[in-house]
Amino acid sequence: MTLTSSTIGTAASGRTSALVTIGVGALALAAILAAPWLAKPFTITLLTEAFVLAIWAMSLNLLSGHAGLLSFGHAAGFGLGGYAAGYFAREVSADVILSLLFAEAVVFIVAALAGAVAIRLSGVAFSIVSLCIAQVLYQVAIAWRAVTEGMDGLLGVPLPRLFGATIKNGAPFYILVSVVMMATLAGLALVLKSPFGATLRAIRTNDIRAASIGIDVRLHKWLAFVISWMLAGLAGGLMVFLKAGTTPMSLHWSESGNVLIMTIFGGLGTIVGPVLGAVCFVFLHDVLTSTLAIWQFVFGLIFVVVVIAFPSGLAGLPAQFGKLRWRFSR
Amino acid sequence: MAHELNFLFVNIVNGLVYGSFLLLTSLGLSLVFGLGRVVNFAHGAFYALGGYVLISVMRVGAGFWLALAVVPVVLTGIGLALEAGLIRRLRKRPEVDTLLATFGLSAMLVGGIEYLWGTSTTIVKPPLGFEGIVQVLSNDFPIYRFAAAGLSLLMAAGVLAIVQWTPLGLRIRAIADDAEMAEAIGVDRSRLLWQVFGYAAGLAGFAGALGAPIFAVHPEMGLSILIDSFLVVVLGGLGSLKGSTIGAAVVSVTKAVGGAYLADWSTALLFLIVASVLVARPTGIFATGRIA
Amino acid sequence: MALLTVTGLVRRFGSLRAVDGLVLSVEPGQIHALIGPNGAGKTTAFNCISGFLAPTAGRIELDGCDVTGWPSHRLVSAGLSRTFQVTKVFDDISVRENVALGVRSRLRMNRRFWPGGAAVSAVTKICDEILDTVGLTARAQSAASELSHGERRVLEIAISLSVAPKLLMLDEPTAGMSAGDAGLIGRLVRQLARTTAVLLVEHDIDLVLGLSDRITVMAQGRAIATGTPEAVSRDAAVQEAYLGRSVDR
Repeated sequence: MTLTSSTIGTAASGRTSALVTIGVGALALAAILAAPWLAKPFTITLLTEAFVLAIWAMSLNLLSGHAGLLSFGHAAGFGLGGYAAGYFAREVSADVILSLLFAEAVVFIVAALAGAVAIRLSGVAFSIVSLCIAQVLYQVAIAWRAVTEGMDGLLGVPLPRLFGATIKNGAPFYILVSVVMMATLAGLALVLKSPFGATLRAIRTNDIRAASIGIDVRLHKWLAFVISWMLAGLAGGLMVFLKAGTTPMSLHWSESGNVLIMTIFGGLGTIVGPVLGAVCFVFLHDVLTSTLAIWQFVFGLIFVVVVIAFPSGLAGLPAQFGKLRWRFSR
Repeated sequence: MAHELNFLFVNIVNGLVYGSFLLLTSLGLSLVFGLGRVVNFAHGAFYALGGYVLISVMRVGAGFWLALAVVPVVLTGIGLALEAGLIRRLRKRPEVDTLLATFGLSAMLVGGIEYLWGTSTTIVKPPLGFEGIVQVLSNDFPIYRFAAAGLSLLMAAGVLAIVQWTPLGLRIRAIADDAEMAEAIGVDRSRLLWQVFGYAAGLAGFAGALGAPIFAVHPEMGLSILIDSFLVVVLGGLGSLKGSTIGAAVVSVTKAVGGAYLADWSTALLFLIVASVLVARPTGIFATGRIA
Repeated sequence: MALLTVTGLVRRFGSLRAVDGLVLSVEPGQIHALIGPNGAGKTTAFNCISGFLAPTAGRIELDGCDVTGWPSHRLVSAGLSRTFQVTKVFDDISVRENVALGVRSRLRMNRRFWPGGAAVSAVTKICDEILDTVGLTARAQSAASELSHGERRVLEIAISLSVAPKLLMLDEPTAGMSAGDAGLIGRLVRQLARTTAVLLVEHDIDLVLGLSDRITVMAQGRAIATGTPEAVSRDAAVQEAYLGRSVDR
């Protein structure tokens, strides 16, 4: 076999872009881990929240961006994981690993059942049923007072403990969240580049054709649904420790809207997009709510503009502008 | 026993009153979907805007009935403008994109309402001559409740009659049946969708204004009726007006009666029912169109 | 023994019996065409056999195994794959990646959650063999959306070939193609038939007569004749039901 100049070119540029990715990644990693020494405590609190939300947005991106199932009820897994982890931490043990494992077990059971129902639908019907599922959990959180304490919510969740040591709020918890977030990002990047990721995108592009080459469409959608919910549950579990509690509002459909905008703003179907989206969301929210009385209006406006003009989001901007330039140069 | 039955009766009546408003919002939602495959998340915000426009018009000195007549005109105008400026741009995009864009639009409208009118709840007094109560089977009901429910049922009947018997209705049905064929014989789909989107907004605003003396006016009022309307059209089948009518009755009575006996669990039950219906029959019970 | 045996296949839509007691058998190594006038039930039968519609009644056996009512993805592992009349390729990815999806599906790699590894080069090698067979090697890196209509029809076949079927079902492979391109598809099908049996639905009668080993003619949901191209074109019932009517048109 002979290597043509074009294949050499691609291989070389592939290697260059891999090097660039690794370089940017290493810089970002260093900046994230050094932040507690560089930034104000309040900024660290915001960053912690942003990274927790980033895990949640990445989970939505797996389901909606890659598997093509647009969820309008993604607060479900998040809120459920929060309640389960918070309940466990309060009633049994504040060990962060045990609490999160318990939360994941609960989320898995509910997601396995809800997913078996929801993935039978696609398109708008899936969106509406996912909204229904989240509303059911929201109502249960209000009604099941014995466990959830109703509208008041689970309050007074203790500080998390890891290997017997208490993790304080601020820098220690920030480091824990950063590590979990980056592990999630790396893991998802691998999964999305794996045959499983390619299979999900094939189903998104054309589910009938996917079925015709032996892909079990429902099984793969179900897997994407369950994995997505469990990642959302992980984020919810971390959030309950950050906020020392949770309320039914964590399951409210407006939260589902928030995670949708983070993900879409960052770039649906990309890999790092949701992280960018979550960070922008938290800092924009902070700036706008303290300076403007019309945060919700601006939030909606951004949503509309992104959907209409930048459907591939922040992470898709370079490609979008690249295409524009290409169009003009022809 | 008699007491139990009476309790049930009161709840069913109140449920049906709510159902008559739910029907008005659901019809608009269903029509817009049937014509343009647009799932309008901002429909609830139109309902809320109706209530607020009523308040503002009354504040400048108009009486209730005059204000009530102004509301649908204003809301139809807003609907027409939004369709032309926003919804139309998404015509060639997947259905879920319109869902996303109208979701953002809904946040904008509710945010705008909170900015202009504040976040508190406003009580609107019933119009002159309708402040009293009426006794039905020895239960007290405000007269206005029946008057308003009657008026909104009349409006709903009017909408159904327009769709069934007028030239406009003929074009609407033609597009909903087979858009390509209808366009081939000269129906201007784009213009028709523009009109219907406007009328649907006007209808939702009218419902919000008419219901103001019963349910009061607050920025979130549109969101709860929107979710109920989604349930209605999903149960009845998106695009089916007959389905919407039956769906509105089912949803409102289930909510009222369930709420009386099961308290907070009733909404969870309702959502479970709708999710099961959608799985068993993805197109809804009376579907003519397809949701995919 | 026949590779595919269909007996008493019925598919109803409401009161309409689109397929009404179809009997069909495809021998290994043969090109078998299913033809008939519009509305004869060919497409419905095709969808039932390939698992995209559930049959109302009847029995479908593939390689001696009862596969009646199996969903399409299970039929693929039993050795059956199909193409579509309206081209369904994965537009946003490369030609090679289109084929790789099927290859990975056959090698049961769909649920590998990590990229890379030795298996990847094995998949690439199989993909390149398939692309070589169908003549798309030069376009391996192109996005599927950049192909011409003819190339997309060929890719459509390559995707179905990627799961190494024992029976390849082609749904109007030359739909929308020029006569020259259609001839190209004909030669490709002939070549593929060396390794797999082919069942095709096709409107281009000249192509069918020249290409097929056996032909089954359907009318009103049933098979009214089966035989060699010569025998079928001489059959009086066929001329009555099909050829006569198509001349009138």
